[in-house]
Amino acid sequence: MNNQENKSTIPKPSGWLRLQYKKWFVILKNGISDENPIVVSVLGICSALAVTNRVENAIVMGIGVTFVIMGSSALVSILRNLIPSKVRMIAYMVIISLLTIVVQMFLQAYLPTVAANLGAYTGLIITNCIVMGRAEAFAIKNPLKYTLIDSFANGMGYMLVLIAIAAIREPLAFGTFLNMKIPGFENWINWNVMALAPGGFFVLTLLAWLMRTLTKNYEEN
Amino acid sequence: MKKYLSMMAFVLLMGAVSSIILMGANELTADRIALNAEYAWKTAVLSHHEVEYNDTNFAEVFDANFEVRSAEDGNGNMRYLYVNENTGAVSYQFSGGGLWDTIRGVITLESDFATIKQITVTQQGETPGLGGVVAETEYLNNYKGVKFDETFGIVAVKDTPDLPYEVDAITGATGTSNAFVGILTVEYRLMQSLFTDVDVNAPALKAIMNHNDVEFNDGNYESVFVNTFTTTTIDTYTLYTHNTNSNVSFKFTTGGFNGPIDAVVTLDADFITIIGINVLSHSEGMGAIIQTDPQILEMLVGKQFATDDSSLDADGFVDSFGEATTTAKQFIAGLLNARNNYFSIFEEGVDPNKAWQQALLTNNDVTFTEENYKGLFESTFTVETKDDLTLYTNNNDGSLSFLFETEGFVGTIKGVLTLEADFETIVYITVYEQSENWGARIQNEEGFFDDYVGKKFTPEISFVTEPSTEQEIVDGYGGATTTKAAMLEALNTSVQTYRAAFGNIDPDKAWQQALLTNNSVAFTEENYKDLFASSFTVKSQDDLTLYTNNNDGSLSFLFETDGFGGTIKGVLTLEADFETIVYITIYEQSENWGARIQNNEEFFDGYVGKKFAPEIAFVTEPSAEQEIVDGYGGATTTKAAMLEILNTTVQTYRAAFEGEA
Repeated sequence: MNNQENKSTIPKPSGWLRLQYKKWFVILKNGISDENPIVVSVLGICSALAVTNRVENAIVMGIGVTFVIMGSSALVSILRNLIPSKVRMIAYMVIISLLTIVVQMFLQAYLPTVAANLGAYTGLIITNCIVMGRAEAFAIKNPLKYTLIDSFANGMGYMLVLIAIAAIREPLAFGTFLNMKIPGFENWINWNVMALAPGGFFVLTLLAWLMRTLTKNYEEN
Repeated sequence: MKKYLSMMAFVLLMGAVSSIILMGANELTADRIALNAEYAWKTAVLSHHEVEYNDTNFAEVFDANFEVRSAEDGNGNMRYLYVNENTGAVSYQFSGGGLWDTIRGVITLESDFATIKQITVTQQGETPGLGGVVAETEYLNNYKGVKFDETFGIVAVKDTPDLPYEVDAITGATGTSNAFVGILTVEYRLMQSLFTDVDVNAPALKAIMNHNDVEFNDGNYESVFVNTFTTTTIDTYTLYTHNTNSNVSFKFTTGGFNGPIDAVVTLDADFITIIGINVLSHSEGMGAIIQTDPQILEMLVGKQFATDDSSLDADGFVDSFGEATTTAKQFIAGLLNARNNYFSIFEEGVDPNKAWQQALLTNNDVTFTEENYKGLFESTFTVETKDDLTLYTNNNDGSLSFLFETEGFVGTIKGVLTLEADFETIVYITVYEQSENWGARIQNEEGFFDDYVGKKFTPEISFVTEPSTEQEIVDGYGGATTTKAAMLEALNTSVQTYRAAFGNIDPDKAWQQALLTNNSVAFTEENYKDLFASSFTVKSQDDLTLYTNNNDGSLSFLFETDGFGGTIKGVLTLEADFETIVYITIYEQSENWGARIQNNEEFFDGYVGKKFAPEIAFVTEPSAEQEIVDGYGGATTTKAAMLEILNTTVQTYRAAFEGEA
């Protein structure tokens, strides 16, 4: 009886606390914040600089990259026991390019308007290091279920940072948000540097600094 | 090992599977993608003309509404103009190099063929958010009502546009903006010259009159020009001389960063001082200021060419281009070159044909001076013309020369190629005009073509890192890949063209001469045909042909086999006993190590007198009469092929002809 009572006196952990120790939640959290591909791992910043002068571009690019990371990581995860380790990098490259080209072909054939809007992005996605990074760091040694969560989390982490940067750059560069005039910005004089790559550098660096300070993520020897 | 094999298998499998997927996807989507591209530009045109359509009938509606006119441009491509039968407005597709990728689209002009009604960009690969704006309707709406100017075309400006030919540049994407208006202007001028009777020469004439402060208006400019200027044409060079102040003007073309720049310049009567200069067309990006900023060319006015032809003081000019130094430097180089050409032709009376005539003499190793080259040229060559091809045959050694011309990376490359009388072996190549960047070495680097000497067009040459056959030449172009590709193409096709026109080379020549050689009959290029006919009696059975020497009864026949590098063709001659070797000659092969069977004249000397009893063999130390010393070294494939073919041919011919012979 005593035992029974003792057990009931220890409060059952809250749902939130229990959630924090689930494996899937940890993976999701790591991808989006703790190990954010851009501000923490500093991967994929080339595209982050290029396309973040408009929020619209950031969203499209984010969705595209998320889709390709998930697709390629899933394939790598499924094939992970078949891929010989010596040629795994080549295998990633082939899978990623294949996926991107095939998707591009089908978009051009069946959804030409979407393809036209994506324009140069599809090419940029292939060169995005996050895609390869997740294949090597996660997908090659984890089952499909967790790989899908991880790649989704990283894609989202990438997209959120992109949107954050673009949300700063677009109003400053064009006085607009999502191509709509912002109230109070009617007489805004366009700040050209923000539209160009250097503006991306400034904002990205400041953002990474802020994020690392907030999350107390310091690189130490 | 097993690991290695499974890895190989995986790589191969992966390659195969992905190829199949790609091919399948391409197969599934290719038609639809082509249809979508057609849909994109046709519906764009229809909406420009405010014609109603839907997704299924757009092609029919398009055909019903437009009259299609076509004309061929200078490069042999068909260009189409779509004329709205009701309004007279016209549309055409345009394309050209943007900053990163080709920009394609359609443009519609009002019936005046000058004012822009609407533009749609259907394909581009510029930086998203910067140059990519070029495809946005909102930006392209700026072009509505803008009018192509006779002199400037369309110009992108950073400030508010106030002239009818000015449009807003894209913020932060000056390069793309300039490239885009450059494409529009160049394509507009092309279409204008193809489909309207507008005087394409007008901008140049007007510029020249402006340089000389001659007053004119759009109605009378032609007659004013004719009355004020004297036109002199020598060869392809035209000079306009002002009747009273004797200023001289001419048009010229220079290289640029994206493409050629056409311009017109007026100099004083001595060809020294620049009186006026205008750019007529260009497709530069950053360097577009050469036309759009009038102050830049103004800097050249008053500048003087050095009297020794070597330079033009233009330091400040190049500096004012900022990053676009290539445009400035190419322009100055082209201007200097053109001025020197015109000066030497019109002022010094130098023959414009000098360059290529001297190049021809150089190729043929004829020493000449500035004074006697003309006479030497006439005495050295016999000129033969067919259609628009001209062949120069050296009277002494029969070498054949002809001119070739091709578009390099920047501009036209002109040169002379000289071949031996066999229409195959290179004597020398000289390039006498080019405006390449890295590729300039084809003219400037002495000895650049030394490696080409003796190489053969069999039937084509190629550039490789380590040449091993006679049609392979060491690639000396470095990073100048466009120049290289242009040269390779020009050389191979010009040889083919000239061969087809002039090279009535006897296809039987090689083996007939080989037969005569085997039978020790001395012959010349002229009499071998007659000697061949008189020396041999020809007997045929099925597809076998036996050539019996009329004097000594020797028996010859041809053989053919596949060696290491290609087909080996030769002639084997036996004594009348069908056994003893008289001689063997190879007249065609493309072996590597085994090439000695043709190139080493004494290679078959060791075979003489040996007997097919019943077969021959190659050994290191021959002791019997059927054993021959093995002279093939490492060319084992060639050796095996030769041994096999010799033995079997003799057997075949014996079976067919022995007894009768």
